Amino acid sequence: MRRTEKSRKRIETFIVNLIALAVTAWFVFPLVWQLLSSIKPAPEVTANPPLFIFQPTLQNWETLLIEKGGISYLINSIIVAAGSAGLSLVLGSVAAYGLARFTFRGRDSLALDFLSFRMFPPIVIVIPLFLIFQQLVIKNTYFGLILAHATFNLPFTIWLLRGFFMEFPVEIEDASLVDGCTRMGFFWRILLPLSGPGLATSAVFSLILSWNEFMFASVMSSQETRTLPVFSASLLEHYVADWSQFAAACTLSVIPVLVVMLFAQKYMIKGLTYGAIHG
Amino acid sequence: MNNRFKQFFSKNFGVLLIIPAFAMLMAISIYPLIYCAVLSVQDWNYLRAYLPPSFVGIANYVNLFLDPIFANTLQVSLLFTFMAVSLEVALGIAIGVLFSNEHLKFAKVLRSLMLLPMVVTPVIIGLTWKTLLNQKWGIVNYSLSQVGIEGIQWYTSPTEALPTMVLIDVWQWTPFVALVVFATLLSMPREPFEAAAIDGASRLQIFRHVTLPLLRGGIALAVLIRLIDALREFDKIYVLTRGGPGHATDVLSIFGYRTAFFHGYVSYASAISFVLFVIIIALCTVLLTRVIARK
Repeated sequence: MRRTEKSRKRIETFIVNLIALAVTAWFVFPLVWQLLSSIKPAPEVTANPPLFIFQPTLQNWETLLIEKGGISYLINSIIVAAGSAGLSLVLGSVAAYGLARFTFRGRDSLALDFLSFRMFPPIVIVIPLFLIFQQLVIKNTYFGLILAHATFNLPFTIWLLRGFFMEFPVEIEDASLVDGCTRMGFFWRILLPLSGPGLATSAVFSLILSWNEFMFASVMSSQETRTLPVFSASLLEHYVADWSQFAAACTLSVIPVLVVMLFAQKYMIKGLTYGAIHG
Repeated sequence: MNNRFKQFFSKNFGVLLIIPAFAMLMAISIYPLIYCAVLSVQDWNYLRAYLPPSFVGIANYVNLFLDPIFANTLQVSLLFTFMAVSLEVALGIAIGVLFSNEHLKFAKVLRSLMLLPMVVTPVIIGLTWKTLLNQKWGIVNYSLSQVGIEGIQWYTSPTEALPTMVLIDVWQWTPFVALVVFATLLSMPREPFEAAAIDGASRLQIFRHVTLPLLRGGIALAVLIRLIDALREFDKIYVLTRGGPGHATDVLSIFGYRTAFFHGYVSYASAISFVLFVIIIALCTVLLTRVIARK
C-alpha cells in the first residue's frame, strides 16, 4: 500500500516537471531561436531545413549596430525610456504621497481616475497629440516622445507608489512630525529613502513600458529620434528583407528585458499582478 | 495676509502635491481626448490642411455605421478579443495551477522564464513569429512537415491570418493569467486544501470547490485587463499583416491608424478611435460594477 503510494507520487512529480519544462520551452523557444539566428552566417538563417549546427559569427551584429546605425537607435530608446521613467517618478512620487497621506474631498475617486488613464486606447491619444506636438514644434524630438510616454507611465507610477506609501507605517511619520520635521522633509529624508522597492518597481516598469512602446514612437519620431522597435519594424519593410540582421535586432531588444526579469523577479511580479491580486 | 496664505497652504498641502501630475495628465491625456471628440464632428483631412475644418455634426458617425469596412473591423476586433481572451484564461488557469505545484523543481527559474513573453516588446513578438511562421523556410512549417502536416499559410492566408494572430496573442498573454493564478495560490494558506483532502474530496472536487472560488476575484480582474488590451491591440498585427490579407485582421486600432496617418483623414479616424474608447469605457463600467457587486 505504502509503496504504491510512494511510486505514484514519484510518477506524478515526474509528469508535473516534464509538462512544466515543455510549457516553459514553448514560451522561451521563439526568443532562443532568434538569438541562434542572430549568430548564424547570413545565408544560413533562411536555410530549409533549418540548421541547428553552424559556425557562429558576429557579422550580423556588426552590420546591424555599425553599418545600419543600430547603436544610435539603441541610444535613442535608452534616452526616451530613462527620460519618461524619470519624469514619471518625480511627478508621480509627489502625487502618490498626496493621495496616500492627505485627506481631502474626492481623494479616492481621484485616485481611481488616475488609474483609469491606463485604459485609454492609445489610438485616441495619438491622433490629437500628433497634431498638438506638431503645432508646438516638439514632434520628432526626444522631449515630445518622453511626454507621450508619460501618458501611460505617469498614471501607472502614481497608482503603484500610492499603494507602497499607504503601507508605510503612520507611526514613523507622526514621530518625525513631532520631532519637528516638515511634511516635505519627511517625504525627502524618510519616505523616499525607505521606499526603495516601490521606487525600483515603478522605475523598472516605466522603463519597460517605454522601451516596448511602438505606436507613439512610429508617428512622433524622425530618423534622428527613432527608437529600437520602430527601427526593427523598418528592417523588414524593404523589398529584400534582411532576416539575419533582423534576428539580431530582436535579440538586442529582448536582452535588457531578460536581464531585468531574472534579477528583479520579485519586483516584476509585484508590478505585473498589481491590482489583480491586492485588489 | 502672509499668515492666511500659510494657513491655506498647509490646509491644502495634499491637493498641492497632486497638482503637477494632474496638470500634466490634463495636458497630455484629457485635452487630447477632448480634441479627439471635437475632431470627430468635423470634416478635415490632414493631407489637405489648406482647407479649413468644417463642422459636420454626427455625419462621421453616420458614415461609420454605413461603412462596410467598419462593420468588418468591429467584427474582427470582437472575434479576436473573444478567441484570444477565452483561450488565455483556460490555458492560463491550467498552467498557473501546474506552476504552483509543490513538486516543481527549479520553480523560480521556470516561473521567471515562463513570464518572458509578456514583457518582451510586442513589435518584436510579431516579427519573431513572422520569422518562425515563414512559409518557405520557417521552423514551424518544417517541424509540421516532419509529422505530415503541410502547407499551412499562417498570416498570408485570409482565413488563417486571424487565428494566427490569436495564437500569437495567446503565446504572449497566457503567462499573465498563469502568473495571477500561481501568485494567488502561492500566497494562500494550505489549510483549506488540506481540510478538503482530509474530508475525502477528490482532486477534481478540490479544484472545483476550493481552488476556483479562491481564484475568482483575481481572474475576473485579469480578464478585464486582457479584454481592454485585446480590444485595442495594434503592434503585433500592424507589423505582421497591417490588417491584411484583404481586411482579414483589420482591427479597430489599425483601421484608425491607417485612416489618420496613411490617408490623412483625421476627423474620420477620430470618430473610429472614439467609438473604440466608448466600447472600452462601457465594458469597464459593466464589468467593474458586476465584479464589485459580487464582492
